[in-house]
Amino acid sequence: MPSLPPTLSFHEDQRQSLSGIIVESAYLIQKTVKAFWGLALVLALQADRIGWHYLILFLVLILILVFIGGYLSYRNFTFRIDSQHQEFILQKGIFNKKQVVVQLIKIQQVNINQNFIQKMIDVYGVEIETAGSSKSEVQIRAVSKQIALALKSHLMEEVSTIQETDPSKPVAVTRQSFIHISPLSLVKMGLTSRYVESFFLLLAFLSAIYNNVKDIWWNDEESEDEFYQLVSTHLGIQFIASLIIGLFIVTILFNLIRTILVYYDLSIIKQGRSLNIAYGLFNSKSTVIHPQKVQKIAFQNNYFQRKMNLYELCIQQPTSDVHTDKKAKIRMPGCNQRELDAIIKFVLDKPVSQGHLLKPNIRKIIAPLVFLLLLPLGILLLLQINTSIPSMVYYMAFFYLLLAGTLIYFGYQNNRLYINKDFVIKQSGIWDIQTEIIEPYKIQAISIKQNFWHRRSDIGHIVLHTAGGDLSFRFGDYTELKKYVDILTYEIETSSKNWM
Amino acid sequence: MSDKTEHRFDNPQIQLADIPKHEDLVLQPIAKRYWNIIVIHLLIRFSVIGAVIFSLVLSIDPLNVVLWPVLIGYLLVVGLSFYWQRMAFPKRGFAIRKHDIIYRRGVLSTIKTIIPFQRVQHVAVNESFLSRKYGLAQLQVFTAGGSSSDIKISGLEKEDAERMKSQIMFHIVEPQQNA
Repeated sequence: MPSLPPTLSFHEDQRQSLSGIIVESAYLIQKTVKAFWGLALVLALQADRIGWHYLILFLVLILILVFIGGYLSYRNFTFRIDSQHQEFILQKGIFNKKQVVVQLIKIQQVNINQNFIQKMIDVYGVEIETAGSSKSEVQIRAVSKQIALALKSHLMEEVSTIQETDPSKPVAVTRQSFIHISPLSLVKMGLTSRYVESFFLLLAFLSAIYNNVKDIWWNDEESEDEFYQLVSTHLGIQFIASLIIGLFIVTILFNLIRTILVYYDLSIIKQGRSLNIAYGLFNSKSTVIHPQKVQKIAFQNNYFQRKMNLYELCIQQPTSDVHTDKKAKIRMPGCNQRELDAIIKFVLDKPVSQGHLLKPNIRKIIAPLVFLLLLPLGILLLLQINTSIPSMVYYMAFFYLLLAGTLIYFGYQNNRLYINKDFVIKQSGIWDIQTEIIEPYKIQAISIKQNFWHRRSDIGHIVLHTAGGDLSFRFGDYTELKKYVDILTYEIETSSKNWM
Repeated sequence: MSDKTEHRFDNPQIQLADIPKHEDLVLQPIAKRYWNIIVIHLLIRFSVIGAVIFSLVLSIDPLNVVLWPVLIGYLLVVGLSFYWQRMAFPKRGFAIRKHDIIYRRGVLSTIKTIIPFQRVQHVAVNESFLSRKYGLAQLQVFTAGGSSSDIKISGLEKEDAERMKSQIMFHIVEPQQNA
């Protein structure tokens, strides 16, 4: 019975591949381990008292149960497309049977993935994402590549026949290779990304070490001066320097490996009106982007990446919660300027133009200046009245002030907003400079704020809410902002385009 | 992506002065009676909190050393809360235009949110036990822009809330019928 030839129409209930039993079992093992690892640890520690053979027997019993569970969940797992009601129906469950019904019109994306286990037994996972729920309920864990692709194209076809309101346009599904990111670009991105994160990680780590070392010396009733003397000796400095360099290399290496593993062989393929994106070394992922569903496009790079003509592109699709839902955000590191422009032009259907420039008021820097510069400085000055502070702290404070001041200045200088009829573009960032682009007709709501102490200086903040997160611009000219609120509202209300 | 009506907008030399200004709107205040509900809510909340705090203080501290400072602090917090609500009350205002709804609120910073009807996901009218007694209701408007873009207008006359709801619903349905 189970070896029925796969009907590629999906109109009848269909099972996963037979080897899906292994995948389902592996998944169950993962769940069991997650739930009972504490208990297992206790049992393992008491192994001598219970006796090893009992423990092994117990383990075998669990494994048998898991395989029975895997088999049952394979047997009970069926899926089909009900083209009459325009629904995708999935049944699953080991003891409690569960039916998931997804209206085809609600389908956002169909992703084909392959994790390590799936790769070993050559099956693929299909994940169907819908607009309503943030986590994907609909997950098929083991089908052959042929079925995965057929299901995907079937679902997307049904979806597009529902959504395509213009029947005169033929759906030309020509697969056209578009962009391929070379491993070299990924290496370059891996080496140059996330410096700021690494830096702060390093800072936190070093301060923890510093405090611990200081505590030890304090307990030994050595005087504080002696401690600093030791720190400033040749050995101490060499130690700290090598520690910093070591940590730096470790974080960069970690970042490099992660980037290459996740985004290996990143390729972007034009498929009719949508983009097909595939990447990953061990866990291959494939996802489709429909331009009309894209809510926000962002790209960023830093000084080094600018010199090497590299960008990280990020495409945001609709989501109910931007912060927790990572899947709606698709990152593509390693594009060059030309590729970036091509993708953006393809998604937005026209080249980006900047329009009217708005810059924040100089008062934007007051808050960070007070909290990051003046407050620490004041505390230091108050402290030095009562206690003697070694001169090293002053040097550090000086460097800190210089660094923080520069960062605040650059943060202010890089912040700007461009508005025109077709695009709202925000640029921001200190080291990594990010540009976010949204189209006015995709805005869901607009908020405009003014603090009462900004009334006289005519300063205000604007927040453009989209289904792909908020875009806010703070400390703008309030009169200007109010004008743009009206213009954008007008754009939204007169546009007949569908935002999704 | 069908823009059958787009050609009408292909030639959009719209003078800025012609675009409706949200600032010209006279925002409607919420019902005065809603203040009573706020006061009742605050009284309930602070009598519960007060009962807990003072029973604790009296049982722990029989000599009444900290009683007075705690009492003064408590009254200060109560007074400030009432003052804050009193300040916030007149700041709340709303308006409905042909194509959108606007809600203003906030004490220290005034926030105005505009939601075009075309972008509304759904609308809800809520009534609590107290608000039903006063014939008031709360209107909630949800968009796909996440919780930060949703608006929640409390202290509306029940009929107004229902009327606003049906007006918004009418506009949500309308564009789909046109398409």
